[in-house]
Amino acid sequence: MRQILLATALIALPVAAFTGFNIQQARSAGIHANAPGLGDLTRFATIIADVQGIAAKGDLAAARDRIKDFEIAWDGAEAGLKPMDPTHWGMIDQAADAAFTAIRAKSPEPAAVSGTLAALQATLVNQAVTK
Amino acid sequence: MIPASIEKPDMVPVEGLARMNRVPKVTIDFWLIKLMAVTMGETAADYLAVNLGLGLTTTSLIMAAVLIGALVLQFRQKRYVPWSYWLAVVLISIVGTLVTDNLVDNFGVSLIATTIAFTLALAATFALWFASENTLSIHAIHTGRREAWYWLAILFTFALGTAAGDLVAERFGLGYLATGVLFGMIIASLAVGYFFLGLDPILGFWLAYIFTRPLGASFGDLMSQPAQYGGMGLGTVITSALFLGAIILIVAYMSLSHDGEEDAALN
Repeated sequence: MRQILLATALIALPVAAFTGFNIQQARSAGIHANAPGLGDLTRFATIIADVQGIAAKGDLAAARDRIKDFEIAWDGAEAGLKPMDPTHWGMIDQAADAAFTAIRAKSPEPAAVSGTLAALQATLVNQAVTK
Repeated sequence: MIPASIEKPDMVPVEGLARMNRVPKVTIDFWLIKLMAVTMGETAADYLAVNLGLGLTTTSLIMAAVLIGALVLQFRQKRYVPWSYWLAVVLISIVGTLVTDNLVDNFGVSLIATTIAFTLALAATFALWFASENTLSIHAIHTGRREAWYWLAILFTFALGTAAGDLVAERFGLGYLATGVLFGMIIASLAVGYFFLGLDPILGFWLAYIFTRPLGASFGDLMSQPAQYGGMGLGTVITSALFLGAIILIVAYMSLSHDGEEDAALN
């Protein structure tokens, strides 16, 4: 029992110190800490605009290759991006999943592809504008 | 006269190996390599699922099969063999990460729920381990059953460490750098407890084992994330390759130096 208490104290102490320091920092940084947003998402929006252009020409195979670049960039930035705004990140991620599913279907529906891509682009642009 | 071995079949000496500890002594390079195995687990899981385009579900099934193969190898050794032991740790790290990712991404289980569930699973593992063996010592893993408890506990520490680390990073809006600092402080505090305040070595070991998971993941993110988000921009491929190389070097050193083998006298 003494050991459990000791271990709890040993974990609680740095957590408390860290939390206190964080709150202090957030105060001095003002409102910035509360609404950091996802920041500049241009590089993701650019790829999706590209995919939309390719898909509009009817080359869905090339569009499928191009959206892979988005997927790698998006997933590769998850750890940095997601904590900045988990809710908005989740919205984009869901929209991206829908677009992947549509474009990777055995026989993709052009309407579904353009619809999900437009929805994904809207969430990306929306983030950049509102923040 | 009944030989003692009939009453305690676990302790039958098999070519003098039966009482040898099958897992390593906890040394500096133990923690170093554990931390790198964790980092690699995180980046390699990402790489397999996304870059290779296998998807989360397929990746999880393949890696689980590979892990089972590695564990079969490890259980057959009947003593501590560095490459086999650390191969199993690296694979458990990858599978532990994938288990949590699957629960969260595919099944929509919240990180709070996974954190609580894995805490309970780990506590239950320790309770049953103690009930079965009367000890949680990691210095006397010399039967197949004890080794099974050991690896089960390790699997849950990885899953718990992943869930708790992601929970702190996401729910509380801390980036990976701040998360790394926080878990680094907790581990330093546990070290002070162990060296100066009489913290139980076994308790301290398992707690540090849990917290090195999110610490290692933060290191991995720091190296792999794009510079725009404060990382070094190495990407998951180079990060995984760097750590794999370092792990192989240390394991080779451990094999040659016999560092990490438990002294026979201790058993």
